[in-house]
Amino acid sequence: MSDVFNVTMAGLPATGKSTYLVALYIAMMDGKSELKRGNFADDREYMNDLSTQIYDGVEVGRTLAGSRSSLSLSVETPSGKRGLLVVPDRSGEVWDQLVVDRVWDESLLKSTRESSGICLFINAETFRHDPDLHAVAELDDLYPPAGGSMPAPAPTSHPEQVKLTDLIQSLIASQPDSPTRISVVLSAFDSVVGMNPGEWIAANAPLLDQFLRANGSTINVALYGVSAQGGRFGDADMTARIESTEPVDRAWARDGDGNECPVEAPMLWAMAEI
Amino acid sequence: MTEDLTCDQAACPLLVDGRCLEGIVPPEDCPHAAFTNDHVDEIADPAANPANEDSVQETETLDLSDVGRNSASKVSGDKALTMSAANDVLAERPCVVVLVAGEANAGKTTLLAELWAQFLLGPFSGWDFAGSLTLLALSELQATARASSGLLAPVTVRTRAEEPHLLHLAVQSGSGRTDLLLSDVRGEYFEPVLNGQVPGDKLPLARRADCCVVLLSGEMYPNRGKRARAISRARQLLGGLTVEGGLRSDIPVLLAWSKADLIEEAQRDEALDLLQNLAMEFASRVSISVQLIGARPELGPPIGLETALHEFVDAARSEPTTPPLLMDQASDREFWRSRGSKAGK
Repeated sequence: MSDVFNVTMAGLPATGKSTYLVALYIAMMDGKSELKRGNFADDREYMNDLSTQIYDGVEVGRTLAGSRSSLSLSVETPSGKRGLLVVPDRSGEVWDQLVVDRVWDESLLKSTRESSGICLFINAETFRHDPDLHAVAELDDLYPPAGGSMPAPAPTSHPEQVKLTDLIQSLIASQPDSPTRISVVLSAFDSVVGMNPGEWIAANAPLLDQFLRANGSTINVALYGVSAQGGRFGDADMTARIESTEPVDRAWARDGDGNECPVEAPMLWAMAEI
Repeated sequence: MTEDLTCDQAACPLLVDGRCLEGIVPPEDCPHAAFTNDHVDEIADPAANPANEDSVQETETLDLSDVGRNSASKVSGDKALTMSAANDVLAERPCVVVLVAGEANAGKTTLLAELWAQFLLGPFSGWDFAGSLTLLALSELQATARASSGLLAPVTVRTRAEEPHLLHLAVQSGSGRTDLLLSDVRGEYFEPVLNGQVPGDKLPLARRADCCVVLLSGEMYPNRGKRARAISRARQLLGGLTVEGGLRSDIPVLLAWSKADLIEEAQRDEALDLLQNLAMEFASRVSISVQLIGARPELGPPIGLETALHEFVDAARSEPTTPPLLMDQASDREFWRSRGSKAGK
């Protein structure tokens, strides 16, 4: 055992970080990943607990705020390096707090600084836009009733794309070396029809898209669309597929242009293995 | 930090003009009102309240560590830059300093908010958003124009900070990147210049600006009396800004009717002619172009924002110049820092 490969998984709450980690873990344990399992002398309790949920066909539960659990697995990389892959599974609230409270959790900062790269997760299904009021007014069905009681503006309400751009700026600033390798992972990508990941980012998070394109000298970025579950649990066709297909065969990923790629590709990009 | 009065009723104009929706005077007596920490870093006046002296120092210290790379575990980006912090940015990278001038309610903050907000929709006028040291502060400026505000119509919260602050916006086109530092200054700040005082120490931003926008509210245009007053005040402001110790003679100045959507289309050429005539009066001092700006029209796309952005970015192509009133041997860093510390005293 020699190297330790640290990768940071960042993302706002409920963006599929843990679910992706489970899909990756199952692929590795089943020997269907380019990121190969090393020996069995590692701590797999946390990941075994999580993966049980996927095997049972239920959604992976949200990581609790304050959780310090990690994927910590003996691996062999495609380039032949052997070591321990350590990916802290921090709750999305921790990242949200970084955006809102403007203070790094010391342990989070330390692990981020030690990372070879970052996987940033965005939930393509639940991504929230925040249009300007004139745009809303043009959509009658979204326009609030006149004279209705409205909540006061939330002081920390920012569009999701602004929060993500801010988060990436903070992550870059925390890195000792440049450029920073970042894989942007669009989770629940099975919910997206007619767009590849690159097109989705440009259409739904244009501020982030511009920022990533304009900072090629400091960010080495790759986009991915991932369906870690292979669909939404509870959907009729999904129930049938759970009966007939193993989880490792249901999960899939696409690169930025929409081409098929292995589920582990975002992790390999963050590890500078591709 | 100071406490700020807010209201839990979305339609209340308290944050806009200080009036209580229920008509209660003083507004803090209204049951819907409550004090919260101000979202803008206000510098307290220690002379008025000596007990605030420590908090002023704390603010300044925080600002100095805020810029660029994170120091310790603090993350910057949610506040506009003080002059001292802006000075640190200027020491790190070339920036175009834009002075956005005009009376209260002239649309200065709305111009900044909506200029930035164009990038939320995609590349704007050939430029990509390339980053911001004040990203959440920019977003905050536009928060009351977004659906999540719960408001029925967009409003702009008046700038409350007593001292000038600056917002950072980096844009990129091809391989060319331009960093803008845009002033967010309350209208009252220009009163001394309007009333005849030399900008010099009163308005140090003026002599450091690489570009200046002077806004007249288009709200005034339909009423001949108010229009004449707006033009007269703009004349005095331009005159005050362009005296020795004010704007440098080689910088571009954009003179614009803001809220141009409130000027009838048939009258817009005439409105521009009036500005052109005004600009001619100062042609020997500065290079002035005129424009209509409707940053947030009720209907249709914004007016004149592309021209404004190009004006700002083009100012970066000028040869860098030393501020004429720079103190002896002082770097930009010391110049701005001294302005910041004076402001806190």
